[in-house]
Amino acid sequence: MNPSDTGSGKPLPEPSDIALPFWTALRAGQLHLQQCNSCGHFNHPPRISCPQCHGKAFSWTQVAPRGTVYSYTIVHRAPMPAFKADLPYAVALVDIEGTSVKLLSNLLASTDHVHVGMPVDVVFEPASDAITLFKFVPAEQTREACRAQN
Amino acid sequence: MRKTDLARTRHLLQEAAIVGVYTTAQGDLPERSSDSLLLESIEGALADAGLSIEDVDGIAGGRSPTDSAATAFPGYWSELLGRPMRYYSTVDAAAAAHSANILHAALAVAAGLAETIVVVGGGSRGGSREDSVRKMAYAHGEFDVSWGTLVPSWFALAARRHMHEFGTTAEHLAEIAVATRSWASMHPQAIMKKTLTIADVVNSRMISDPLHLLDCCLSNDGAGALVVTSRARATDCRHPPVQVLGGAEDYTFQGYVNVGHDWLVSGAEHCGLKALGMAGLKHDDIDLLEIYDCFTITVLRMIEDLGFCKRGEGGPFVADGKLRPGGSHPLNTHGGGLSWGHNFSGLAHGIEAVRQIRGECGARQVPGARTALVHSQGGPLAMHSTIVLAGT
Repeated sequence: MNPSDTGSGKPLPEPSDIALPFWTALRAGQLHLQQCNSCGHFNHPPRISCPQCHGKAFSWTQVAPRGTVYSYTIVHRAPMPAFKADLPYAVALVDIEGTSVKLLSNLLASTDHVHVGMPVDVVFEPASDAITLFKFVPAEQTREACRAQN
Repeated sequence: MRKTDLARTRHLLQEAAIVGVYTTAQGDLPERSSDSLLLESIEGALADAGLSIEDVDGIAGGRSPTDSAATAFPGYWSELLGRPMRYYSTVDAAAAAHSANILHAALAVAAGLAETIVVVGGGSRGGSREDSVRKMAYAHGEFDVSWGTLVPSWFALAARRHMHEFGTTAEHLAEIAVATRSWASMHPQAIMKKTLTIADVVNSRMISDPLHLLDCCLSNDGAGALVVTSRARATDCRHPPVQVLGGAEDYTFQGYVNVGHDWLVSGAEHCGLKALGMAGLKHDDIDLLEIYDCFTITVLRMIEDLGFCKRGEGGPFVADGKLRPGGSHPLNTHGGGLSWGHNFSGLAHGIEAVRQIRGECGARQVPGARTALVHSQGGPLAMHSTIVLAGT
């Protein structure tokens, strides 16, 4: 696939047919994952056949938008000019709570504080009319922001 | 696989032998096309074997990570070589392809599908360095395109988790770069020859934490080839044949797409044990480790997964210098992708194993080297092929 560029020059995903519900849910501020109707296994990326039980029927299930950092990297060399202004930035692999799924995205946090085991929340970041991205923030940051608003 | 089946495959493999190898110059070769580098490799490897294009009836094309078009079509090779190819195969598994291509070629010759197969890989990167980086920035698109990851980032994720789990350090990883560079310093063809210290590596520019510049392989133009022929034909060749004693593959998950797997295990575990079992050898019987090294962490993980030490103990295992010249586990004796050159790495590792087993490596020759384990990996730690080579 040829990722489309945004105004910022950062490429955006072009949703595949099978993953469209994932991207549609993000636009509504929700995290949905493909779940096997037969065995309950969560699949990401979504597939046409369940690798656990070979079931062919799936639902899209809303899951809690939070998790724990399984691993991370701090990027110091941008893959393309559009990312240069952000350097250094964190990319984290996160175990999504209550599922067997890991998701990869940017962790919007001070790079000094990122660590394995860090609890994070998923935030939803509109990037174009069609695409809302998911990113991670430290869990306490979300809580503090909520407290500040109250 | 049952022991008797492994023995049967080993027996079959004895009907084939590796008789020729060749590598072109490595580096920035803007004047060279992929085609010219690949053709030079084919002709060079045949000349090394004492054979000619008239003897070739099969091509196995390893895919270069950055340029695959030139090896994509069997008819292309038939036309270029001026004779019909009766065997064509390429394992589409990025850098994991190369050991698998050698294994398949040996089995194809043994089974009579062809008599002489050239396994070839590499080429020209084409475009600018920035183009190369950008091309390798995202592999799948839909789920990794927007985060600003590099290929090193994916291996950095594996490295960081390993550090967290087992206390592996940047210095442990650096030892692999240092050892590899020591070997490269003795190879006339190596791109990077200046020896390194651990401090040089850990103080080099950070690329994707915890991987520094010197934890990452090179990116260059160049190619190479290896000739497999029948046992009968091998007796007429210029060099003593080198045999494939065993081999195995494992493709467990989609690299760069599926991030949900256990990042501390890989299919190399299966590959290594099966290839050694087929060869009838134990880890201690292996004289040379030729392990694809896109990054230092790749080697550390493969040393563990292939069973040369226990899981998690790779850091302390390498720290005593056993991978360096004179050590008990000579690693990537040509200098690997980290220092010799990275374009058809994996095939280059197999070529080096052949040269070492023949005893023609001059200053870097490992005295008495008879056996080698050659492991190819497609990232990140997703796809694997292993062969065990030995002199006859």
